[in-house]
Amino acid sequence: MDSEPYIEVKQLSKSFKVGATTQLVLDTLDLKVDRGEFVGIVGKSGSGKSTLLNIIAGLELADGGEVRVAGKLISTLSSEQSAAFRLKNIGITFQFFHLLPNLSLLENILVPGYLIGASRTELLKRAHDLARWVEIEQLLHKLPSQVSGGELQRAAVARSLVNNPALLLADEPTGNLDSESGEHVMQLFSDSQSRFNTTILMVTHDLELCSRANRTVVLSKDRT
Amino acid sequence: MNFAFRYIFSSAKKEPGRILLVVLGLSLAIATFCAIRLANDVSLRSFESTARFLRGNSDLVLSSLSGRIDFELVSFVTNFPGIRSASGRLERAGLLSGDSGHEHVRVLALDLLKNSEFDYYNPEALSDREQFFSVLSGETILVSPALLSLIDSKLGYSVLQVEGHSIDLTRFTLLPLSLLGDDFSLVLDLEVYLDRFGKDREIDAIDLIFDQRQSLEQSKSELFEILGPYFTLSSEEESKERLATLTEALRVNLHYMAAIALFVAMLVVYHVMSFLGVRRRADFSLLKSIGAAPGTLWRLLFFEAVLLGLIGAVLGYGLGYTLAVFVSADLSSTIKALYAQVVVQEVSFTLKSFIEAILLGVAFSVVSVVPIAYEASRVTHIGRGSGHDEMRVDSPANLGWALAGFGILMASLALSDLTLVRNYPGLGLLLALLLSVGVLCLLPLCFWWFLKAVRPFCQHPGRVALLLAIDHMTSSFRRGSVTIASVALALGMFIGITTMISSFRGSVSNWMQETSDGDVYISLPGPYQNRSTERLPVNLIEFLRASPVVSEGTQSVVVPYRFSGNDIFVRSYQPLLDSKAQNMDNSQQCSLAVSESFARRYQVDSGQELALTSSKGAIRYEIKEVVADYSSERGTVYLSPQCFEQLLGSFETQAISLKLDSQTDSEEFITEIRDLFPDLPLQIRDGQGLRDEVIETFDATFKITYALQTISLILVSFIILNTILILFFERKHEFATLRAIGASLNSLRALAVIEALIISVLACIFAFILGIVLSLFLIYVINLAYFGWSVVFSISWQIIGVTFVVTLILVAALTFILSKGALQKNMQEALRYE
Repeated sequence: MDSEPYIEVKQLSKSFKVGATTQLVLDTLDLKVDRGEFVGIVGKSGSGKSTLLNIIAGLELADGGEVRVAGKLISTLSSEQSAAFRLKNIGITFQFFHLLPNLSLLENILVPGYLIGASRTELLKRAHDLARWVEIEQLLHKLPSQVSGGELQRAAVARSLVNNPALLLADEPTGNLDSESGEHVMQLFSDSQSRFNTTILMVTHDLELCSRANRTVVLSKDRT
Repeated sequence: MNFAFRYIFSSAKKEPGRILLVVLGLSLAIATFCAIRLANDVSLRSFESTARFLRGNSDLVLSSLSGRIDFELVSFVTNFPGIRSASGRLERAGLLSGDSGHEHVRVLALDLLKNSEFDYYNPEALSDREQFFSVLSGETILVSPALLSLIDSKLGYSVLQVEGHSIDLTRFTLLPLSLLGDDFSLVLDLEVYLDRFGKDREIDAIDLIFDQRQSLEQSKSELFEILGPYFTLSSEEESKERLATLTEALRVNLHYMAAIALFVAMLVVYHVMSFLGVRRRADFSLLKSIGAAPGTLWRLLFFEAVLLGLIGAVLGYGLGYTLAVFVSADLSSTIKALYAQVVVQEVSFTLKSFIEAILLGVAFSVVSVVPIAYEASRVTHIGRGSGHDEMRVDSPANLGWALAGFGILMASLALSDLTLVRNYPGLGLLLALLLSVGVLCLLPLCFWWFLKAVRPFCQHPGRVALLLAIDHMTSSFRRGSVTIASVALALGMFIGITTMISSFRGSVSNWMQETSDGDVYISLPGPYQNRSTERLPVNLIEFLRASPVVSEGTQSVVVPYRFSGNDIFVRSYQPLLDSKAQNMDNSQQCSLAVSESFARRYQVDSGQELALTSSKGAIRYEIKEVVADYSSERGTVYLSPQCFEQLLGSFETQAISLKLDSQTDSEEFITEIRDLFPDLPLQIRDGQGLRDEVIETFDATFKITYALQTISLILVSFIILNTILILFFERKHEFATLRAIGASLNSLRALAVIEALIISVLACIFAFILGIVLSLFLIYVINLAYFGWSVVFSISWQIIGVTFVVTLILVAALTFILSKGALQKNMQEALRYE
């Protein structure tokens, strides 16, 4: 692994206004993740797991501290710059899959490639390769409403990897799946780590899933 | 009920924007309808009250077919048994001279003082008019406020000329009377008028009040026996009927427009409510899971629709009341140009119109929500509530719509019989709506074909925005269809009216070019509805006849005439430079033609015979020709000079059209005439001036339709804004996902703009088709049924092109501007949404 951490979080703070009160969700958090490392982040509801992921992805801004990904200071990027960075370097999967409902699974997988302007031939080949890897090649022509939750999440994983990102962020990837499907998805993450040296940051409330991770970070309302 | 209230109010708090859109859409449509109805009522009420004022609340009005009666007939009629009171009246065109020129004045002369034996001081015995004027003397003249201001303006306006005689108005006591309207009008005592001006002592009508001891019908028939068929007696009911017939076409056409505005609103309300329905699908599923019956969901949505309808209607009525003030001014201009002077009274609140607005608002809101309530009641308790429109319309359903639309179009065409439409005004309105519905029913199939055809083209990396736009339009197909239909309907109404007006204008322009190609036109002051008895003096005519620069000339006269209980015009033309009028007894020289509107109204055609009544009895003429004449929709009979003299007496020239030789300058010639006849208040216009005046009158006639065009454009803007906002609301989740994946703000904006533009382009295409269909219907069915004019259909490509371009620019700009805020906020919340 590289000497410089791939993800570096320093003194990260984030709070939210809830009615008249302000809730401190992240309080001077420090975190380092190396390239190719698989880190699981666990904690109770409200401990700031998803918030941490969103800040690292550049989807939210922190109140204090800094976040570096691949040496880039994420917190100083504009929304356009962070979107461009995300497109090229980060793949994201969500608890609720978030596939576009009227595109086929293949088209959903292709969307990030379309956005980045990749060559169609190469893109198609990569999409099919990924689909084969996640075992949904027979389902590529189907719509999201026509497949199961596990198949959807696998399609989402394929979509998140189509641009060959160095970092994969997974927010409760098995939260909506049965144990068998969840296990399958976890296997994909492990394979991705070993095959593509993908750095993986996975948020979950299930400590058992973190057994596949190299490391587990526990967030609590008190301190990490 | 308690739960329904809580649910509705909490939904409204959560989605205030969307609720506001429903209320605004409904209130705008109700406002349009109310503005037209209120303005219609007040303008026509004004028209009727002015007419009633002139009639003096009499039982019967005695007039002649030629429009002129000897004043001495008043005394004769007064002594007729059964008549309690007889008052004469007349209306003439006058000219008020001042330092800076002349102004035309409408001069009314009424019998202000009583002519009978009964108790002068008994108010009940007096007619309304007599009551009003009983305190005035013969030295008082009532003037309109505008005229009084002009006289008081110290611009020297004081000398009034009528029928070749003049008086100094400042020698009278001038009192304002607002009932006279907003132009220059005055009322004076009939005896004073006849003494100063009317040397011929001819009046227009005699208002009769009968003794109640004898029946009106009996009195009427006895009077007819003595007076003969050259005179007519019309009652207030008949007057009302005539008035109603006169204004029928205008009223019906206005209601067409209002009804279409309401129809558009219904689509808008459905559009927004259906989105609310989709958003609440999860709520409905949950309610069903915990035991709510389908009926509960129906009641919930109906209750909401009633509430929103009430609020929208109240707001709409308020807005409509305000708009009515402006609309009534335009409508009054139209009525003035078409029929008669109208006093623009204040728009007044009536409980009836308010209740009507409430009922309409609630009805439209409830009807719009029916399909949504139906869907809601069918949501299963395992509903996924994914926020997407799962009930897509597929090809067979679209084909069904198209076939239904085709059927409706065929039925509408079959029912577009002129006689049916004329006899049943509601049918015309129904046909206009059916045609619109028929065309729009073709839309889903065309839309579906378009989406299918374009999709393969989109599957390319550079076209992802197009792909996602097509995807979204496919997933919300029904709402997209309704959106396109709404915009197409509102824009189609605009194009239909514009095309109808431009066709009409073009026809009138061509007619003017063909028939009014003179260089100079000379007449005396503009008669009000051609009731002037002004004749050009003989010395002027002789001068023109002898002038070496005049190469051609035509003398004309037009008089009002009563035919089949209605007012028409009789026109005649005579060459200026030919030899004297031929022998009247030579009936082979006698010829008659009728205008198209006359032919339509009285169901006659060339080759048929027409009987006209003269002072010597009825004369039958053969109709030689039906001619295009856009000067009046009441109908005109054209007589050769010989026929004219046979029917109405001597041909007395009212106006002359001259063609000058090519070396003569029109302006110089006009100056020469004025210098030669300085005391004559001649109205002299060059050819272009006359044509411009006709077009001005035309524009005044259509002023109300211009107001409706504006309203339709406002509706279009509203629907577009509504559509764009819903687009962003609906796709919040999708945009957030794309943003999370890494789509740039610009690519998402491009996505939104592309979708909005596709919808707008499709709407413009259908608006064009619908507009052309509507304009063809207005020109070849409504026009022919009610007016009878030949209008050559022509498309104003420039206006339509500009409208479409402006619409597309507006759409792109609005989407671009609104996208920034819409795309940047609440991304995280959207990602957590399920």
